[in-house]
Amino acid sequence: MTDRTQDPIDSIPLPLDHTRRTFLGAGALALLGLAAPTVRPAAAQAPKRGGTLVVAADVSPPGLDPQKSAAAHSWMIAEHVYSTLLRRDPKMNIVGDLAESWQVVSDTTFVFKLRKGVVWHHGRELAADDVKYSFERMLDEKTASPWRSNWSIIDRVEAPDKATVRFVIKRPFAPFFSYLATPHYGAIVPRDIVEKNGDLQKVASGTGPFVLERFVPDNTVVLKRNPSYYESGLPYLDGLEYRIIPDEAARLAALRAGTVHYLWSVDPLIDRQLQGAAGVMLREPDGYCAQHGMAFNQTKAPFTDVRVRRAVSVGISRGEIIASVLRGHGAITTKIPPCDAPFGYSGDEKGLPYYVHDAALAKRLLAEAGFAGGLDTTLEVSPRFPQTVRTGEVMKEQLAGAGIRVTLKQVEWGAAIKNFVRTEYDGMSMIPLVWQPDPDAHVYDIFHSGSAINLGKFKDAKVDQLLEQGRTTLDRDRRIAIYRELQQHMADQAYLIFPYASGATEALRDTVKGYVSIPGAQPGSRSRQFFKQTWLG
Amino acid sequence: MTAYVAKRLLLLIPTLLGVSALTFLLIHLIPGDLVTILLGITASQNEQTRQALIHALHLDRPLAVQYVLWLRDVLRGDLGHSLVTGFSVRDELARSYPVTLQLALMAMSIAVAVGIPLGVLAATRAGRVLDASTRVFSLLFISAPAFFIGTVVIIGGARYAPWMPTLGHVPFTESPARSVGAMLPAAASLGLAISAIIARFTRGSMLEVLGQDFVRTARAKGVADRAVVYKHALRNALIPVVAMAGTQFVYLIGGAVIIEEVFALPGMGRVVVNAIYQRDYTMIQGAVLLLTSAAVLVNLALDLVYRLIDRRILYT
Amino acid sequence: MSGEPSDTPAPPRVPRALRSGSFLAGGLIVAVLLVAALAAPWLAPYGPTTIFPGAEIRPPDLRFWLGTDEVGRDILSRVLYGSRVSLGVAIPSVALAVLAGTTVGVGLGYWGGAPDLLAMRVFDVLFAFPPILLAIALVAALGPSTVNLVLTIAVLTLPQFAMLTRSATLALKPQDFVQAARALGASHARILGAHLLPNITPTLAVQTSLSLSIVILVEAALSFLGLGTQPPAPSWGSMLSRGRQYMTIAPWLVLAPGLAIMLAVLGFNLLGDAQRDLLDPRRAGAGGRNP
Repeated sequence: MTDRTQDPIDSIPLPLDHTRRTFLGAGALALLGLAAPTVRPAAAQAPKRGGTLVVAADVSPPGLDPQKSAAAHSWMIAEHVYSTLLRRDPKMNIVGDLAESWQVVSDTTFVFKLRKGVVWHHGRELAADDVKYSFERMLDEKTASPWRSNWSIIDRVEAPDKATVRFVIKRPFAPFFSYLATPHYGAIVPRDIVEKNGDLQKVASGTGPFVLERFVPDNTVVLKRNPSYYESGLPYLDGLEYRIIPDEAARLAALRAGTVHYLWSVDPLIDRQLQGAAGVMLREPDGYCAQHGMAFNQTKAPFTDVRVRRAVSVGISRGEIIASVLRGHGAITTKIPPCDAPFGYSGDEKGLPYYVHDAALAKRLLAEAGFAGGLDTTLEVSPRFPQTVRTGEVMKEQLAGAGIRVTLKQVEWGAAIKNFVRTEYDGMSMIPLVWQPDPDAHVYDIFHSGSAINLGKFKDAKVDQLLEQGRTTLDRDRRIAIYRELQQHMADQAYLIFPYASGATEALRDTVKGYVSIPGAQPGSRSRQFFKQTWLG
Repeated sequence: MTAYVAKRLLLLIPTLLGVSALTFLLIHLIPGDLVTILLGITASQNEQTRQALIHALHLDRPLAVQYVLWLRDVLRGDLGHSLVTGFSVRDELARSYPVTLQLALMAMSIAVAVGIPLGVLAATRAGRVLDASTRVFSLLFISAPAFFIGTVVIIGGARYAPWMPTLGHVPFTESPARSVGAMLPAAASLGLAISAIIARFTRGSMLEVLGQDFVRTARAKGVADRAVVYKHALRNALIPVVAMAGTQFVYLIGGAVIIEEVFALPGMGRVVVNAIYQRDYTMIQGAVLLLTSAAVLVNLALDLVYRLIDRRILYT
Repeated sequence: MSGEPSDTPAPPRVPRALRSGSFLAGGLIVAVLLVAALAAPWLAPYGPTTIFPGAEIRPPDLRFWLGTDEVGRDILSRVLYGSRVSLGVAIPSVALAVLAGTTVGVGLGYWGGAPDLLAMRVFDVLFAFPPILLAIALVAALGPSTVNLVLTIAVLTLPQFAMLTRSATLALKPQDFVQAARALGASHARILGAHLLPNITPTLAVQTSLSLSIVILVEAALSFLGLGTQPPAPSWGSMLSRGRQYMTIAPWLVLAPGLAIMLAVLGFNLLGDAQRDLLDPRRAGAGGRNP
């Protein structure tokens, strides 16, 4: 481990090395990324109404329907248009959104009272039936909603009156409230508009702070202020535009030229690229939430042997990868990332078994497993994500030193993701993984032996048992202990390798004030952005 | 002439059938799973959801049946809906094709406007400084990939001329002047590379013609040098250039794929590349059908132009 | 080379070629690149994929003459080895296209008939299909690897050679020397081998040089889309497309591979141009050189 990443990441200010400390432009405010949720800059000035904030987005949303699109580029727009029953505040606490109050009747029954006088963008008043409809729509097979399996726990949703919604779930389910507070899982959609248009891919009407005005695929999404938003006075902006610019060099150029106000980048060299750009400031990631994950094909030799997997785990130097690929801006991680501590692991390599780089140990383990002369294997990566390719290149060199000869195989993304989740690759495969709104969502489907997308097709009764306990235990401290044990066990067995957790840096024009967000690994780098509180100075 | 056009138009039918069948086959050969892409990692594990979606998209039918079903709809004028977004394929093409066409036409205009005069100058000054510098210019642009020229234009533009719009698109119907202005950097990045090729080609063609009997005769008769070059030689020399520019036009539409990506233009190239990546079969089919029809028609038009020029030569 | 007519019969080609400055320059450049490709292991100071931790994005210095890239690899070594990759894709794919295309084209032109008509339709299809899209679809279908890249580019380039040789054959077939050989009872093989091919070769040589230069750019374009050479193997195209991002902060990332591409394209173009100048129809004599 190098000096740069020694500090635990989640609870104290980020270590700043000399290259990162450079703040850009004359008089740039010190928009330092501090620990987790951040509200800044201290609002010395009174917010000003008006103006349109332009965001440079990298990918065109494949439709805007929050219940149909599995793409994060859809939700990052939909979250400004639709509301949820519950939401997270910038301090990550779950608070009411459309729900004014709620009551936990039993471990499996919850009653929500809706906020009064909420009006859809098309003028109709919000009714409990819309909430019921939204969940039934996701559960309907014909919708082909990616969130159907998340909500399969629901037994029924009832709307006894216009302002009351009752959920009955099949068994106690710890992640239920965090799912309700997750913008894409929990978006409430209007029955009449869906029925009139078939879906919400190109049209939208929500109860959120912004109204969809225009969506031209590959070009732009224009949102304008919702004048009847239920939080009075918000939003401050007259409009919000997502301009779709696929090329990163072009996005940076647009920010420099001032034609866009905001962008994010996972490239650790972004600060050097924007050096000297007047009126531009950088925001460090609030926490490291996005991980890379490498899976082994455990349906056949050699990776069925735990010694070979452990050899790979100690054959790579996570610290060196973080130093070179991320230039220090990353952290040691398990599948539950450090930004989710205390559920997630947030320490250095020494706290987890087989995490410390040791080429000699790797060779010894290989020899014990019958590969004294070394081992040849493959690693699939997708060129869609240059960072993954770079990570693969560095790992290849490191593993060569441990006697593991890796051939990198570049696979186009459509095939790579399919091969990865279905374990249809030869040796190893690595893709970037996204942040999930609950520890259970992070691990259950990809670790459970009964799941079709168990990564690498491994079976471990202890893992299955911990997963079940984690999802049904409602006591927070006991849940934390369960997931800690799971992470230790997963590292010991080296079923999967997580080389690092990283984050995205945001770059803003210095006219952007009052920008607040919650960490997460979604595009836009945040799990939720509060543009309704943002204003242009 | 009419009979010829009719014959060429008839030949269009097997060509388009061939192209659509080839595309259909090719796209379905690409490994990768539309259903996993559509449902995302988590939902794709649910076998019931998977099968329902596969059935809804007709992906469980034999390929030949899928092809015939698609063809039948096309003949009825229905290009279908995107498998990924559910957008109407026709709407998407109607939105994006004009952008690519405008880009290609502007790039071609730039290429011709720069390339032909340069080529003629180089030919008339063959072996001199101007010829050499044209050659350097040509080779510079021929050898620089379009994505590289584009990036230089964008980065340089943002740094040294931030007032100049290098990114973004204004529909032609909204404001022709602003539309052309906004697309100029992109069209130039694409067009200059082709202008270099045209310049080289024009030079060669001119040299060839200048050496031919009738030019020598004209010169011998004492016609002023300039008149020879421009009146007789140029017209003849342009015939192969027109033919060459035609083939370049097809390449241009392909080259637009990359330029659209760099300059964030909402054209066909982006639609097609995304569709290929996401296995959006209906979208790819529709787009390729449109692109190839356009290419075949352009080739036909060029062929006719070529014949017209040719005939005029015969009778002058 | 002036446009002045010359009525003297064509002198032997080789000395003439040697007198052409373009030919010499082009040949020299191509020779240098070939030497770089063959001798890369001896010329390169480091391995092309060797990573020097902590030495990411270093400007050129005494240790790394051309600087290092974003993961800390020596750019000089990568450019040298890159010539193997780039030429290793360009040369075999064009060779394949020339061989297959010429065989098909000459055969079609010589025998004609139904296969010819059918083939013409197939070429119509291939010509109408935007090549870059065909390349994307093919590489995506076959999976990106050097072999598949070579095959894909060969398929894209093949129709040009087939069309070229077909029309050349069609033009030569009715000419006296071919007809005479036929009348004298020469076999098809002999007519093709001894009479037709030698007359097509010069045209073919021009097209080959030009194709080589285009193919280098096609590889770069595919690399831009992530479908080119497999990492960590260095190809000029992938180096350029990866480094392009950082050209404001680290121009050395794009300078070396950019110059290499430019040189290669320049070299092949000069060769092609020189050959074309030599092939001036009046000099080569379209039907002239009866062996």
